[in-house]
Amino acid sequence: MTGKYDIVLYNNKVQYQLTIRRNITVFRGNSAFGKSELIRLLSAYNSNPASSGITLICKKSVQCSQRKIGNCSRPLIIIIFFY
Amino acid sequence: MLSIYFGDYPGDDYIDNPDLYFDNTYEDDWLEDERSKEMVKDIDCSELVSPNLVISPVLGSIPVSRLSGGVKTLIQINNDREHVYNASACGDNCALWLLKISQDKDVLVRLGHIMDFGDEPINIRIANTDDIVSSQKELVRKVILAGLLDEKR
Repeated sequence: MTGKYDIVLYNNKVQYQLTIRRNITVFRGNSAFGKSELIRLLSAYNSNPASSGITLICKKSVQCSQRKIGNCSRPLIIIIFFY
Repeated sequence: MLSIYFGDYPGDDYIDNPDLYFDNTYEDDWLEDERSKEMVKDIDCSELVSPNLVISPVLGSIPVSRLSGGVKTLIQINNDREHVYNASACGDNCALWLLKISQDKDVLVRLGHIMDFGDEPINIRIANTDDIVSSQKELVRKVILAGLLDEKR
């Protein structure tokens, strides 16, 4: 991927502002840092963009998912990818 | 004492996804416990008002199912003696709570990574080898030298 993309994702309670430079981006962090909420918002938006009550501003379409990597098995890892 | 099994836990009593398991099995009295309230305050910066209500400074009034995976795992480890939980569902900010819980009772958890227990002396048993370690540095050394987290081929 060349360049970078800004993602703004928000509802009435939380707002995420991300600048992504890779086709696949991994998020890690402590408990309660907002990782699962990010997944929830993005998944809800993608399942029903018009009626989710969630706003996504990005020049490309975005998906995300949780993955285990190797033996780590931490459901703390989020992967964001563009398509 | 805290015992940690590193790698793939072989028992039938293992819970790989404590976040999901909690949502479908938690008991109300676990959430009336004073320790649960302290952990939710510390980890999620939220007030556990009752088994049906959490007040978050960010999300507002939320159900307990929206607590973080880490604090759900800690609550289960503190209350459920029948299962071995995947503590890799917890961030490093849960490490000191694992140590506190294990001061009151013997606890066995599974880890797929080396959690950071900080710089203070610790007393942890590595279940794979029966070694007892007294510092984070010693824990890291023993786990790596024994290859406990190496990928099985």
